[in-house]
Amino acid sequence: MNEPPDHANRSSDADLARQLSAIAGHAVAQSRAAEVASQREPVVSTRSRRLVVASAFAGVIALVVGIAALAMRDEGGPSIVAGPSTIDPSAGSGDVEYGGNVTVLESTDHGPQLCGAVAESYPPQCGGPDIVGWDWTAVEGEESANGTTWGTFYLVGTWADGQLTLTRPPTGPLPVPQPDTDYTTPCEELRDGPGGATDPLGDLTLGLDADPEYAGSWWDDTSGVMNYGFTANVDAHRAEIEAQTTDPVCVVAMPTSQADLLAAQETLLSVSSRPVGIEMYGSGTMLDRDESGAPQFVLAISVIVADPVTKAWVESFIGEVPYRLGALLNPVEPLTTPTPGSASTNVTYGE
Amino acid sequence: MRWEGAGARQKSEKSRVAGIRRPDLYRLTVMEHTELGAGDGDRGEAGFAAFGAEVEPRIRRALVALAGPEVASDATADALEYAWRNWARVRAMANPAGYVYRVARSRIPRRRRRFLPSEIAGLDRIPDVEPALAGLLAALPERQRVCVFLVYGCQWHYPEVGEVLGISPSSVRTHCDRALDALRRGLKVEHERTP
Repeated sequence: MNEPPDHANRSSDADLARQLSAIAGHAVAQSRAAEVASQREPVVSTRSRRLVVASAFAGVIALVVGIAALAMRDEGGPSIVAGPSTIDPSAGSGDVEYGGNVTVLESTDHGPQLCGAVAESYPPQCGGPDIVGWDWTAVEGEESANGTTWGTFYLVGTWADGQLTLTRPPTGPLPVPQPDTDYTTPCEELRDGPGGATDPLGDLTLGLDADPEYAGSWWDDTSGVMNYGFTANVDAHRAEIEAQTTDPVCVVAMPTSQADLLAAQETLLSVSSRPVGIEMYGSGTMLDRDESGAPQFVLAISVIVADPVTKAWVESFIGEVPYRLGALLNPVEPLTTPTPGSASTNVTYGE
Repeated sequence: MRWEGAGARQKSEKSRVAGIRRPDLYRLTVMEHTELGAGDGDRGEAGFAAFGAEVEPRIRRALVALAGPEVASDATADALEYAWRNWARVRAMANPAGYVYRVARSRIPRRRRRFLPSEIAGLDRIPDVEPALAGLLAALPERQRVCVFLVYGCQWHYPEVGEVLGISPSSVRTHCDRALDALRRGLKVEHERTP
């Protein structure tokens, strides 16, 4: 670093601002460079690399928003099919038609496949079940680059042996109603407080991850209340949390700890091979409501089709842990105009 | 389906360690982006795109001041990811940019909330910058550092900084004044405030 004689003595606030501007510009540019460098790698493995949306904002690969967001926004996002009694027993046999908005991608490495997730490269990448009967000339709106062709469409077909066989002509994405998460605080009485001082999912929450009784937390921005769930000693946990903030907080009992949910998730992810036809492309904990409306956290698992085979496979590994299956493709009414997600919102618990 | 639990965050952190050996975790995180909430429609996507385009540079700069360029890169992306997943709620907030900053900040461990000149490559090649300045900047309290970085380093106005940090413009000015005093003392320069 240069050190001009008497530099400091010549400094005015304007010069100080100039120097701060130089440092800031350099540091911000380095931050940008770090993100751009991470995006050059086609395989995503760190948090920065997986940030499709943030990357699009940087103007680097805006197309991914067009794919990832469009692929499963509310007109096509995976809907929730959960519980032992909501699945058509014949699902997965090839007799039931499934439909959903999906990204279809064909590359030099594989034929047309159904994407559960799209990697943030250009052209995008994905791997998934093969689509039988696909014809790019029969659709509109696809994109192509470097030997890869992709697009988002509403597909209907039968699901068997790990592949989707089209039974109806694909169309553009269709609107599909989606269930929304209820973030309403379950506490009717809250202590007085100024509100706004607690970082959502912030320091308080971060310190709770190691607590075996901790179930999870969420922010209700309507009421401005941070909510926490514990499987035991709720009063003690409430006192401990209230001692750390002046905000009103809600602490309630929940049946399953985060540790148990994550352990079940680990078990599921550790399975080295799955039966043909079971495609799991995501899992994590999520806020849910039990049959009485009480909040609880469950293990959410994204699959292509929530058929009985998939459900039984999941239950064989995770035991009694409450879970929900989110299916990319859901049963549609036969021989009628596609009714996307027709069975998608009938929710029961998998426990 | 939304992944609201802290477990999703913890899994993401695990994925950083496990890398490509855990494709399911990667897929989970991609899914988080793609599952916009019910009823958002085009308005939700378009609205979020506009929001992100506006606030991403602002959040990034503030986080660079808070925790350095490398941490800021991840934290910015994480915060926008969170906003995307919760867009139906975030968009209704009075100060969504401030909320996103708070989310990002809350996810940076305290020990990482520092601005270390040693983490900024090529800092010594910037011409005509007082050698001690970056170190003095790093030594400032968090609020002072972020405020002076944004106002004097990035030419923001007080209200703009206040919006992101969730504090009043007058507080921003106070933090800046104190930071400048500290920097002047450190550089042993006299106060020559420009008009």
